[in-house]
Amino acid sequence: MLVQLGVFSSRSEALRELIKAGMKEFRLVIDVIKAVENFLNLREKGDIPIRLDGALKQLLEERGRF
Amino acid sequence: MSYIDTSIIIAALDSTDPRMHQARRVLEEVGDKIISELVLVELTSVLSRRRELISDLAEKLGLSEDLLIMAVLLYIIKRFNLTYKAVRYQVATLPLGRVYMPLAVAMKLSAQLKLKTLDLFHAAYIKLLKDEGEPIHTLVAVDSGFEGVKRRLRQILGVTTFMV
Repeated sequence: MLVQLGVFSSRSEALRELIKAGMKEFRLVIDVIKAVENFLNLREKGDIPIRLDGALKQLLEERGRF
Repeated sequence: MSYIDTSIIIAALDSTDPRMHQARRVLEEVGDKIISELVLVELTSVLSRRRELISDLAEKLGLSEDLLIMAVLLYIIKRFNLTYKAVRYQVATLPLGRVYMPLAVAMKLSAQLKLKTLDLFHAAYIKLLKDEGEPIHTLVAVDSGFEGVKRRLRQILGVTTFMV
Protein backbone atom coordinates (compact mmCIF):
# COMPACT_ATOMS: atom_id res chain seq x y z
CA MET A 1 0.00 0.00 0.00
CA LEU A 2 2.78 2.45 0.89
CA VAL A 3 4.47 1.70 -2.42
CA GLN A 4 1.15 2.11 -4.27
CA LEU A 5 0.65 5.45 -2.55
CA GLY A 6 4.07 6.62 -3.71
CA VAL A 7 5.42 7.05 -0.18
CA PHE A 8 8.21 4.58 -0.95
CA SER A 9 9.57 3.66 -4.34
CA SER A 10 9.86 -0.08 -3.63
CA ARG A 11 8.83 -2.77 -1.13
CA SER A 12 12.44 -3.15 0.01
CA GLU A 13 12.75 0.59 0.68
CA ALA A 14 9.46 0.51 2.63
CA LEU A 15 10.62 -2.46 4.74
CA ARG A 16 14.04 -0.89 5.37
CA GLU A 17 12.46 2.36 6.58
CA LEU A 18 9.85 0.62 8.72
CA ILE A 19 12.46 -1.60 10.37
CA LYS A 20 14.51 1.51 11.08
CA ALA A 21 11.47 3.24 12.56
CA GLY A 22 10.68 0.32 14.90
CA MET A 23 7.58 -1.67 15.83
CA LYS A 24 5.71 1.21 17.49
CA GLU A 25 5.90 3.34 14.35
CA PHE A 26 5.04 0.30 12.26
CA ARG A 27 1.76 -0.14 14.15
CA LEU A 28 0.92 3.52 13.61
CA VAL A 29 1.60 3.16 9.89
CA ILE A 30 -0.76 0.17 9.76
CA ASP A 31 -3.50 2.25 11.45
CA VAL A 32 -3.02 5.06 8.95
CA ILE A 33 -3.15 2.64 6.01
CA LYS A 34 -6.38 1.12 7.34
CA ALA A 35 -7.86 4.62 7.56
CA VAL A 36 -6.85 5.38 3.97
CA GLU A 37 -8.46 2.11 2.85
CA ASN A 38 -11.66 3.15 4.64
CA PHE A 39 -11.64 6.48 2.81
CA LEU A 40 -11.12 4.71 -0.50
CA ASN A 41 -14.04 2.35 0.25
CA LEU A 42 -16.29 5.32 0.99
CA ARG A 43 -15.22 6.85 -2.31
CA GLU A 44 -16.22 3.69 -4.16
CA LYS A 45 -19.70 4.19 -2.73
CA GLY A 46 -19.68 7.63 -4.35
CA ASP A 47 -18.93 9.60 -1.21
CA ILE A 48 -15.76 11.68 -1.04
CA PRO A 49 -15.32 12.04 2.71
CA ILE A 50 -13.01 15.04 2.72
CA ARG A 51 -14.79 18.33 2.15
CA LEU A 52 -12.91 21.55 2.69
CA ASP A 53 -15.63 24.12 2.13
CA GLY A 54 -14.30 27.67 2.25
CA ALA A 55 -10.70 26.45 2.48
CA LEU A 56 -9.52 27.86 -0.85
CA LYS A 57 -10.49 31.40 0.11
CA GLN A 58 -8.74 30.87 3.46
CA LEU A 59 -5.55 29.56 1.81
CA LEU A 60 -5.39 32.37 -0.74
CA GLU A 61 -6.05 35.01 1.91
CA GLU A 62 -3.29 33.59 4.07
CA ARG A 63 -0.86 33.55 1.17
CA GLY A 64 -1.75 37.19 0.54
CA ARG A 65 -0.93 38.08 4.12
CA PHE A 66 2.69 37.00 3.77
CA MET B 1 5.37 16.26 -15.54
CA SER B 2 3.34 18.91 -13.72
CA TYR B 3 4.05 20.54 -10.38
CA ILE B 4 0.77 20.75 -8.50
CA ASP B 5 0.26 23.79 -6.32
CA THR B 6 -1.69 23.36 -3.07
CA SER B 7 -4.37 25.77 -4.30
CA ILE B 8 -5.72 23.43 -6.97
CA ILE B 9 -5.91 20.48 -4.55
CA ILE B 10 -7.84 22.59 -2.06
CA ALA B 11 -10.08 23.92 -4.86
CA ALA B 12 -10.93 20.34 -5.86
CA LEU B 13 -12.20 19.64 -2.32
CA ASP B 14 -14.01 22.95 -1.75
CA SER B 15 -17.63 22.78 -2.88
CA THR B 16 -18.13 26.49 -2.14
CA ASP B 17 -15.67 27.42 -4.88
CA PRO B 18 -17.03 27.63 -8.44
CA ARG B 19 -13.80 26.08 -9.77
CA MET B 20 -14.21 22.82 -7.81
CA HIS B 21 -15.37 20.64 -10.72
CA GLN B 22 -12.81 22.09 -13.12
CA ALA B 23 -10.03 21.69 -10.55
CA ARG B 24 -11.08 18.09 -9.94
CA ARG B 25 -11.24 17.37 -13.67
CA VAL B 26 -7.78 18.85 -14.24
CA LEU B 27 -6.31 16.80 -11.39
CA GLU B 28 -7.92 13.65 -12.76
CA GLU B 29 -6.87 14.27 -16.36
CA VAL B 30 -3.32 15.62 -16.05
CA GLY B 31 -0.71 12.83 -16.30
CA ASP B 32 2.40 12.79 -14.10
CA LYS B 33 1.83 15.08 -11.13
CA ILE B 34 4.41 15.93 -8.50
CA ILE B 35 4.04 17.69 -5.15
CA SER B 36 6.64 18.97 -2.71
CA GLU B 37 6.91 18.96 1.08
CA LEU B 38 5.56 22.52 1.02
CA VAL B 39 2.27 21.26 -0.45
CA LEU B 40 2.08 18.73 2.40
CA VAL B 41 2.68 21.47 4.97
CA GLU B 42 0.03 23.77 3.49
CA LEU B 43 -2.50 20.92 3.30
CA THR B 44 -1.73 19.95 6.91
CA SER B 45 -2.21 23.52 8.03
CA VAL B 46 -5.62 23.73 6.32
CA LEU B 47 -6.74 20.31 7.58
CA SER B 48 -5.64 20.90 11.17
CA ARG B 49 -8.02 23.86 11.41
CA ARG B 50 -11.02 21.85 10.15
CA ARG B 51 -11.65 20.77 13.70
CA GLU B 52 -15.10 19.28 13.25
CA LEU B 53 -14.12 17.25 10.18
CA ILE B 54 -10.92 15.99 11.78
CA SER B 55 -12.36 15.15 15.20
CA ASP B 56 -15.42 13.40 13.68
CA LEU B 57 -13.29 11.29 11.34
CA ALA B 58 -10.69 10.58 14.05
CA GLU B 59 -13.43 9.30 16.33
CA LYS B 60 -15.08 7.24 13.58
CA LEU B 61 -11.77 5.62 12.61
CA GLY B 62 -10.30 5.33 16.11
CA LEU B 63 -7.21 7.39 15.27
CA SER B 64 -5.55 10.30 17.03
CA GLU B 65 -5.99 13.60 15.21
CA ASP B 66 -2.37 13.81 14.05
CA LEU B 67 -2.53 10.30 12.57
CA LEU B 68 -5.88 11.11 11.01
CA ILE B 69 -4.36 14.13 9.27
CA MET B 70 -1.57 11.88 7.96
CA ALA B 71 -4.22 9.44 6.66
CA VAL B 72 -6.11 12.27 4.95
CA LEU B 73 -2.90 13.45 3.28
CA LEU B 74 -2.25 9.92 1.99
CA TYR B 75 -5.86 9.67 0.82
CA ILE B 76 -5.56 12.96 -1.10
CA ILE B 77 -2.29 11.77 -2.69
CA LYS B 78 -3.96 8.52 -3.76
CA ARG B 79 -7.26 10.15 -4.76
CA PHE B 80 -5.59 12.50 -7.24
CA ASN B 81 -2.76 10.18 -8.20
CA LEU B 82 -0.07 12.60 -6.99
CA THR B 83 3.58 11.78 -6.38
CA TYR B 84 5.35 13.32 -3.42
CA LYS B 85 9.04 13.93 -3.97
CA ALA B 86 11.37 15.07 -1.24
CA VAL B 87 14.23 17.33 -2.23
CA ARG B 88 17.70 16.24 -1.13
CA TYR B 89 18.61 17.69 2.25
CA GLN B 90 21.11 20.41 1.51
CA VAL B 91 22.22 23.61 3.15
CA ALA B 92 23.54 26.66 1.31
CA THR B 93 26.22 28.85 2.78
CA LEU B 94 25.29 32.47 2.22
CA PRO B 95 27.26 35.54 3.35
CA LEU B 96 24.93 35.67 6.37
CA GLY B 97 25.26 32.03 7.37
CA ARG B 98 23.89 28.55 6.61
CA VAL B 99 20.38 28.38 5.14
CA TYR B 100 18.20 25.35 4.21
CA MET B 101 18.46 25.03 0.44
CA PRO B 102 14.80 25.63 -0.56
CA LEU B 103 14.85 28.88 1.42
CA ALA B 104 18.19 29.92 -0.08
CA VAL B 105 16.87 29.27 -3.60
CA ALA B 106 13.71 31.24 -2.77
CA MET B 107 15.88 34.15 -1.62
CA LYS B 108 17.85 33.96 -4.85
CA LEU B 109 14.70 33.87 -7.01
CA SER B 110 12.95 36.66 -5.13
CA ALA B 111 14.64 39.52 -6.97
CA GLN B 112 13.64 38.07 -10.34
CA LEU B 113 10.15 36.77 -9.58
CA LYS B 114 8.94 39.24 -6.94
CA LEU B 115 6.38 36.77 -5.63
CA LYS B 116 4.81 36.55 -2.17
CA THR B 117 6.62 34.23 0.24
CA LEU B 118 4.72 30.97 -0.20
CA ASP B 119 4.43 31.36 -3.99
CA LEU B 120 8.16 32.01 -4.02
CA PHE B 121 8.80 28.82 -2.03
CA HIS B 122 6.81 26.81 -4.57
CA ALA B 123 8.94 28.33 -7.35
CA ALA B 124 12.06 27.33 -5.38
CA TYR B 125 10.81 23.75 -5.02
CA ILE B 126 10.14 23.58 -8.77
CA LYS B 127 13.71 24.72 -9.42
CA LEU B 128 15.22 22.24 -6.94
CA LEU B 129 13.13 19.31 -8.18
CA LYS B 130 14.08 20.15 -11.77
CA ASP B 131 17.75 20.41 -10.79
CA GLU B 132 17.41 16.93 -9.25
CA GLY B 133 16.18 15.54 -12.57
CA GLU B 134 12.39 15.76 -12.38
CA PRO B 135 11.13 16.74 -15.86
CA ILE B 136 8.68 19.41 -14.66
CA HIS B 137 7.30 21.46 -17.55
CA THR B 138 4.07 22.89 -16.11
CA LEU B 139 2.91 24.53 -12.92
CA VAL B 140 -0.78 23.87 -12.27
CA ALA B 141 -2.49 26.29 -9.87
CA VAL B 142 -5.58 28.25 -8.97
CA ASP B 143 -3.68 30.99 -7.12
CA SER B 144 -3.73 34.10 -9.31
CA GLY B 145 -0.46 35.17 -7.73
CA PHE B 146 1.31 33.14 -10.41
CA GLU B 147 -0.70 34.72 -13.23
CA GLY B 148 1.32 37.94 -13.44
CA VAL B 149 4.68 36.18 -13.57
CA LYS B 150 3.89 33.51 -16.17
CA ARG B 151 6.49 34.85 -18.59
CA ARG B 152 9.19 35.08 -15.94
CA LEU B 153 8.42 31.59 -14.69
CA ARG B 154 8.88 30.34 -18.25
CA GLN B 155 12.13 32.25 -18.73
CA ILE B 156 13.69 31.54 -15.34
CA LEU B 157 12.34 28.10 -14.43
CA GLY B 158 11.39 26.78 -17.87
CA VAL B 159 7.82 26.00 -16.86
CA THR B 160 4.52 27.07 -18.35
CA THR B 161 1.77 28.03 -15.95
CA PHE B 162 -1.68 26.45 -16.23
CA MET B 163 -4.31 28.32 -14.27
CA VAL B 164 -7.76 26.97 -13.43
